[in-house]
Amino acid sequence: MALFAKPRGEPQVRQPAQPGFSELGCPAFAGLVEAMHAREEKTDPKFGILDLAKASGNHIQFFSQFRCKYHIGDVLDAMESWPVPGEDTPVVDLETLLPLHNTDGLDLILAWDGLNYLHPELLPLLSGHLAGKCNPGAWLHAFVYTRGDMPALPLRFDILSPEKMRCTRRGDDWVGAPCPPQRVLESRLPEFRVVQSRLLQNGLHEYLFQVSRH
Amino acid sequence: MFDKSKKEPEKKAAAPAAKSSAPASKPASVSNSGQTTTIGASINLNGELKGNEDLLIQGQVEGNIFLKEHNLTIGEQGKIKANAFAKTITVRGELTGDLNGLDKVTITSTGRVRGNIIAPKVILEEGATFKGSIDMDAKAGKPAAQAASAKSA
Repeated sequence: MALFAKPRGEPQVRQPAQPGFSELGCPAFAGLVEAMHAREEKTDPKFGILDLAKASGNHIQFFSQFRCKYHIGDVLDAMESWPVPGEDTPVVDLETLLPLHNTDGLDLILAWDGLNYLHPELLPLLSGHLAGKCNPGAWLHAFVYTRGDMPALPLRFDILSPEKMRCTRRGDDWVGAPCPPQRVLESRLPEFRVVQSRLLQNGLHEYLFQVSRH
Repeated sequence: MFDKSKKEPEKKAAAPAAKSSAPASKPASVSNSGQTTTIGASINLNGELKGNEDLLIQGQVEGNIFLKEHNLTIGEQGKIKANAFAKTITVRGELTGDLNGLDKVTITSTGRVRGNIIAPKVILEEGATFKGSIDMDAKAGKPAAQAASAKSA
């Protein structure tokens, strides 16, 4: 079984209709940051944060305002080394792929663009694995494509403020996007429930989930 | 966070020491430029490294590194498998292990780190590679102004 979906079909090279980056408002993320500050004032927690993307100085800088243990998952980096779906391959070892040692539990998972590139069959596995590492009330924040295609490579997200992000495209190749509707997405992440969901200007859908069971 | 005014002096300090180990014809590669000691590219060290001066490592080191009140720089040619403890740690080369920086840890654009970082301030430059976790305690290690600037980022 493969962990990640390869881009569906051959990448199509097309003239970029938009510049390689755009800024987008992210109201759910702003609400999340507010909620983290509120939790911080009440209980002075040390947040466990897992970023599923590559390590980003911007993200680290932003979250350094909180007492936290910040884990870099970089799961998409492993994409190339995992076989395509349908091949007779060993079961995914998520403990190896996403080692989260010495953690007191996760309070926030940043799945920025990653869910679009994971094979749909594997989302429930990831969901179960992550939920098992979560503290009660943990959040999962994600951006999911709603249009028919998406860049062949995940976007890079830079936090400009809690209300605004800049997303940068790498390359001009496009591939088909899975575009799951909310109910499908929820069924693939059964341990999480949607608490906020907004369609953003550039076709991305912003989701804020909260862990519902372990 | 990307504090250029603080970053520049580090480069200047490392530069003279790096030159001393650069010529390929020189066999010995441990030198002291007065402020920064260099472990040159041909040196292979295995064990525990302790010191009371700044250190630039261009060679290979396995073990543990303790520079309590001084600065540690892993040069671009440096390959380290060690846990490191220093006032500031700057990684321009490769490091596998845990980093404990009293003031800050910086991974530059050429740096590759696999391990865990504990520091009040962590700087990851564009292009740097890092896998692991970062333990950040804003309240314990940062002046209020820094925390405020991060909030407005």
